[in-house]
Amino acid sequence: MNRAQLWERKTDRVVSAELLPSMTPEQVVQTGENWQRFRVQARARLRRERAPVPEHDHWDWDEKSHDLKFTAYRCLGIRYEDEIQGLMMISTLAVEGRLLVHKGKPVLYVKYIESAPWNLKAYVGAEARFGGIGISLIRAAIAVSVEEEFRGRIALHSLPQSEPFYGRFMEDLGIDPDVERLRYFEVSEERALKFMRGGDV
Amino acid sequence: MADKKTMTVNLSDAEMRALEEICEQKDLSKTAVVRQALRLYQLVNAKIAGGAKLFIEDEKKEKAELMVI
Repeated sequence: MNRAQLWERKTDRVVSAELLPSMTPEQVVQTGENWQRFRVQARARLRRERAPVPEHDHWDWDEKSHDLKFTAYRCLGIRYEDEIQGLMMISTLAVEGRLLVHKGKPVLYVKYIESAPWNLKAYVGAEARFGGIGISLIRAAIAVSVEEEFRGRIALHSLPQSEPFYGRFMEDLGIDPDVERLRYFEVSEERALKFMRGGDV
Repeated sequence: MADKKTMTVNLSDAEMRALEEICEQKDLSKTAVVRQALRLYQLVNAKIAGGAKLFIEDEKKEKAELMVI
């Protein structure tokens, strides 16, 4: 499970990247700084073009890395060509499943998931480098859920921009009034099993 | 995941029953339940040490403060 398949858009080929199962706070901070440098330039261009910036533009991985001092949190990453292409912060302190079939059962919660800004069309348009990062990280979250005996059950709250993506393979349980009115999604055990067998999303 | 260490834990009958009950409810092994308990305790302990308070809210939205040692 220590590899992730990414799609290199420019060459239209699949490349094998390294999946980092547990990043240190220092690695996360360094990644955040690298991304921030790229973002500053991309943001300036978006402003000139009067284009909207992505909703997660303000995310601060330095701040998020503070949670890693607790055993309840882990940060996974995808590395390719010495650069971190995606990050995901998860809570292995289970939350309770909301799907009827999961009621009372532990579910792994994905706190944050982000692709490097140079992979996002919202920042760089057609120049976006790699695709498949979100799905690879979700696959990794399901694998951790299995490892933690949660049978692949995972959940997250999505920013509006990402709802169509998660809606493709997660159950949409509607707006959560208690969490910034974000939409809540959960992956069923059955769906997770398909994922782990390499099925399509 | 990092290398794991093994340890023996001494529990009373009542404590063992409680552990087994949670394992049954949550469909988890004893190891997994202990891991969950440790993660929760570490997090709550650190928050309280930092000045936070822990409340439990009932169905009527009434809050009761939990004392954690």
